[in-house]
Amino acid sequence: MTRLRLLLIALSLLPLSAAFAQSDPAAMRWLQRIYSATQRLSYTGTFVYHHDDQVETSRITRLVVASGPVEKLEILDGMPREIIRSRDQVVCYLPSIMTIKIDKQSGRHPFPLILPDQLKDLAESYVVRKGEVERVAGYDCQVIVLEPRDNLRYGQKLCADLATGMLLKAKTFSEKNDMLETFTFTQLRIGGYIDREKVKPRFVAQAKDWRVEDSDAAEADLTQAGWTVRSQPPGFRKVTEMTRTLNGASGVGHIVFSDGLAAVSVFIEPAAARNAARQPGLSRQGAISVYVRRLESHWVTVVGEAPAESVKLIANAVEHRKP
Amino acid sequence: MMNERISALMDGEVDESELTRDLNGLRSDGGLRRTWDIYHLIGDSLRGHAAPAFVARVSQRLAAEPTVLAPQRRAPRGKFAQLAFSAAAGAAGVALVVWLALPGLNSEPQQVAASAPPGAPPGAPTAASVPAVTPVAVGVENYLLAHQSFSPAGAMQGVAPYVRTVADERGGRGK
Repeated sequence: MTRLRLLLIALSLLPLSAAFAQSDPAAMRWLQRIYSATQRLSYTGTFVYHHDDQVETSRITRLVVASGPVEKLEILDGMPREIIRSRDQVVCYLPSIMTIKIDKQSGRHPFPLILPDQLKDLAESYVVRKGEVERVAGYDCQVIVLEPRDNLRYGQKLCADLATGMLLKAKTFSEKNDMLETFTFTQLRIGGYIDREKVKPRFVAQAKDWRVEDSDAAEADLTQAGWTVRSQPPGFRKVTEMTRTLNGASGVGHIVFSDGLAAVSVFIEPAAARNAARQPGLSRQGAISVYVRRLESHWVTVVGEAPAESVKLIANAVEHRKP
Repeated sequence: MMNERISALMDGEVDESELTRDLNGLRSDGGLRRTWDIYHLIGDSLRGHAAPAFVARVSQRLAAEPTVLAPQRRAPRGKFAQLAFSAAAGAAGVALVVWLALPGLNSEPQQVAASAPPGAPPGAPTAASVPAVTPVAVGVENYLLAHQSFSPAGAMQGVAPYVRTVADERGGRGK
């Protein structure tokens, strides 16, 4: 009898131990709440971006107007730089090199590019759980931790405002638990009246003679040009592929993979005199890994907020067959 | 801690056994009821449901408040940190990173340690184990700009992660 009872207890514990590796449904709902807050809220505030040995302060304002949301990012340290994002384009004003960079989203999804099933994908590669309640920029916020299930992706610790779901802090940590980068609001006002002037670029008048770099991004089937990525790290799926103008060259191939949280981009551009000095190999900034590889008469550049191993795996799986 | 309970209550995340306790708490504690009211008020105003008379009253009060330029105090701190980093290169720099990363930004190392992915060595030293990888070259911004809009992680943060795509050409890159 005792043995039977023990067996029954052991059996009843089995599903419980499996459940430890499962994401907490309440934590998943918090992620949804954060995404919907991102698309809904108007706010203005100051945040600090901390990576490697650098700390940079920026002002951010988001305002929802009749034509859709408009966001402005101003970097407050060093050279003044501004980014304005509207429903279908991102415009960067760079006074130090007198350049305007434009990335249009025509024919693609409006910002942010989140698909409904991405959260489902995410749960396959990360364990999502709720943590403590902390305080950031004067707001009580709920900690949500995304722990990677393997070493092919980074973990994230988020903290979102209890009342609105607005993300106040996002920390990316490596497979060895080192902090790679942190975005933290130091001051923030959510909602309320925001002057339209606060989301307008201040360089428009002087930018009339600046150089304009337009990405000309357009969806494309790169397999027709002979380009394929043989395999991806587990959990990563192809999201989209396109051609764009990059570094002055048109028709550069761009393929995007994502595991529902991290994204990795593959760029394929012809080797030319302009990029002859390029060095192959691995580099890193904060949570971003970059791997450059020469493939026949092309440069393959893989960029993503993922560990070196993941970007290398994807870069080395790129193949070219003459169509 | 109770604020979290209220948030959970508003989101319908409380199970039945806790519900009675939480509702009793609300009934007996005036402070909790005020928090409950404030959270609903925030939600209503964000959805544009606040009463016009209330909005007008708040606008009047705000107009009467003196303007406080709080961010001013923060900017020099960032500059100081950069200066400090440039001065203390090498091992001292690594120590500084750990020191700077700990207060505030990384306030609970135990919790992060508990969230180690399977296979990570327990108690791994912090900054010393950062792999020595070349910092990204100037010019990578164009790739980052093209990449950024596809990142689901970045989408949670609005336009903030675009800060990566506009590195200061004259700044501390490649030190």
